[in-house]
Amino acid sequence: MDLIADRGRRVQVEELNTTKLLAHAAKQTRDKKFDDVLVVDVDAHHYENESFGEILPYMENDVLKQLALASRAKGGRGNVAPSGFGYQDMGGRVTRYPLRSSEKTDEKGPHRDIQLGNRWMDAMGVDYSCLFPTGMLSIGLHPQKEMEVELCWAYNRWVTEKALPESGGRLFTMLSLPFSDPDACLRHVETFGDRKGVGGFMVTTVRPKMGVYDNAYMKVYRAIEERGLVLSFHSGPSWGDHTFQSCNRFLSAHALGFSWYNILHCTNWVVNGMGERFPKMPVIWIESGLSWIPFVMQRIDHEYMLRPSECPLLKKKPSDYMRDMYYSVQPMEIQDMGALETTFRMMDAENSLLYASDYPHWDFDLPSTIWDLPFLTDKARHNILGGTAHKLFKLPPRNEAQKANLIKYGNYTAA
Amino acid sequence: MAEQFIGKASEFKDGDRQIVRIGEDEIGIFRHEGEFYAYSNFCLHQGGPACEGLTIANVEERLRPDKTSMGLHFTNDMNFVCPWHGYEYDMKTGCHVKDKSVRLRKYDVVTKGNDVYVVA
Amino acid sequence: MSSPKTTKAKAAKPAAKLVGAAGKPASDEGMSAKDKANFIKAMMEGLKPAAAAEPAKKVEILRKISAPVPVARKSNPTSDDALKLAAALDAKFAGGDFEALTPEATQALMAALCKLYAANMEAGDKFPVVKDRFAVTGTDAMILCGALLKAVDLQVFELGMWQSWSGV
Ligand code: FES
Repeated sequence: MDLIADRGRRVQVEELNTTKLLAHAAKQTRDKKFDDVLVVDVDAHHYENESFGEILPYMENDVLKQLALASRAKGGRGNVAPSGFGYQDMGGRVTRYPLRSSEKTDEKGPHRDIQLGNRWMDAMGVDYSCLFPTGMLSIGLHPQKEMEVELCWAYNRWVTEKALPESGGRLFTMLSLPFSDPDACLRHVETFGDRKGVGGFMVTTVRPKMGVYDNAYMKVYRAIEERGLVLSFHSGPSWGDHTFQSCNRFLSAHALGFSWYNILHCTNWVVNGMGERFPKMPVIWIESGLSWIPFVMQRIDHEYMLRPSECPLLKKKPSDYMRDMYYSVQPMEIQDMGALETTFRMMDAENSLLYASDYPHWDFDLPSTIWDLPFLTDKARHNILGGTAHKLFKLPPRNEAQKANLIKYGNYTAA
Repeated sequence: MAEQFIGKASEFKDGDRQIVRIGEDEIGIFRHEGEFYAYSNFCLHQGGPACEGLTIANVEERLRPDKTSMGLHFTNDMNFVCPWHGYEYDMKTGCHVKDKSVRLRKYDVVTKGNDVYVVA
Repeated sequence: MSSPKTTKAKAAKPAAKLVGAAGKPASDEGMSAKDKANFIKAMMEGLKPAAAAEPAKKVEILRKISAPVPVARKSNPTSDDALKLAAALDAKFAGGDFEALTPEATQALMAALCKLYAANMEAGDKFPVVKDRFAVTGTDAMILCGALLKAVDLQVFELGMWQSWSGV
């Protein structure tokens, strides 16, 4: 295959093979004995648009289904899902993007996405991954509420009925909610909440307008809490958003966007006392890195002291409610080690932080990014890599050594 | 440290590379503008295969004397990019293009006649 | 929700010693200066396998990646026709025949070549517009450039400004 470099030059490369590409990750897995540690990745992705041919037929409304299917017919006359601007692949420098289609999988084996998932999980020493879509993370930008509902429904049926059952239990998910329509959200929770492989529900936070505190959503949260499931918020970039239109480099829009949407909705969540209303429902903030957390804690604790009349439901400081919630680690900003250590202390990382790879996206993190941190205790290492997620999602250890470690660090709960 | 034979110079066209394993080391050997360069294939970021990605010209932003920008341009300096997350290394030094202190382990390359050796 | 089977590869050989403090955690109170120094060193050096004990090392070629190549366009029927046409026009011109093409044909050809050349330049595939310094005379070039600018209602200073602003 050819990759396009500068000035039109072509670089000839072999076809992509995830196992080969991640050979150095597999070496880390062996060297650091990750087999003995339960490693749960709470945020990994697949490219669901490649399976739209299987997904769209699950849409319920005939007219919308016809629109969606026709838009994908040869000659591509339309766009079903919103797509944004950006250069995630850095002009092909991150080679797994342009080479993606060249990777071979066994046609007689499980679904291609499952086979690819197994390759990267095995290489990284990951035992379980929470699978999320890619393009559908922008579903909140769809101007048509009905289309959002239909696409989420179709994807959620496909992923729980076709994809996950072929993964032998190693892939699980938190299903995307059509958040523009609270009634439809409730129907999703009621329909899919008890299905195998469903650890909870996910809200994409890239949305032009969303009030997580709106009364209309309380029934949705109640239904999630009653089922002992997890609610997560997955962030993303939106370069086209008016806030980011003054960014002239993707770097700026990406760096800020991924943190921004979670900053926004986490603040609203906390200030409106959602932690008081749903104390038993675990909430995870996904893919915003960590450096925003101390910032928001300082910022809203400060204003909370000055304007207590605006958050009467809170019985403790906003940062205390933030420590009651969970955060996925990736993309972890390992630049100023002192600042990172402070961040871990402020957020009580030992009990609130969850390892996430975000593979195969361009800024993925390996488990060694956590394992090698010099300031962590063994317990914190084990908790972050999988112990805490084990408790949240009730994922059984895959061997005796993992079980022994879970017991040793006080995380073991029988499934 | 010993000289390890890795191939014939005549089989290395300008711009060609080879990734070799020597004992426990993995090394990328580049031929660029007639010279040989050899670096550790373990990226300093998260250990990715640093020498196996795209080779691409360095990008600079040109400014006019009045400090206004003329936009981005490729220069004639060549970099190689770690395919995992994009760390970009200078072909001639093995340094990260933005932080010279991030530097891949460099190996000497010796040519004797048509034979190329890496000292590892 | 999961199956308990283990499929991950077991360590195939003794684990290489990695520089760094991994596996040797600091106490709860924080890390010692030595651990910190080790960690920073590890970050700088990356994964550095321990030196093999024996001097005779096996050299194993893992991959050969060949040099990038400029876009090589193979000859094709359209190009062959174009070359033939160019040769025919040159021959007529050499014989003093300036009127081999109608104005309409000249305009169509000029516009097509202009668009094609510009598109290649913008795509980063840069090659000289004519083969060498003597393919056309300076006067030819000035007449054509002037005519092209006039055709799209541009002044020479605008060309200069655009070249300076866009870096082309
Ligand atoms: S491992 Fe090389 S860029 Fe991340």
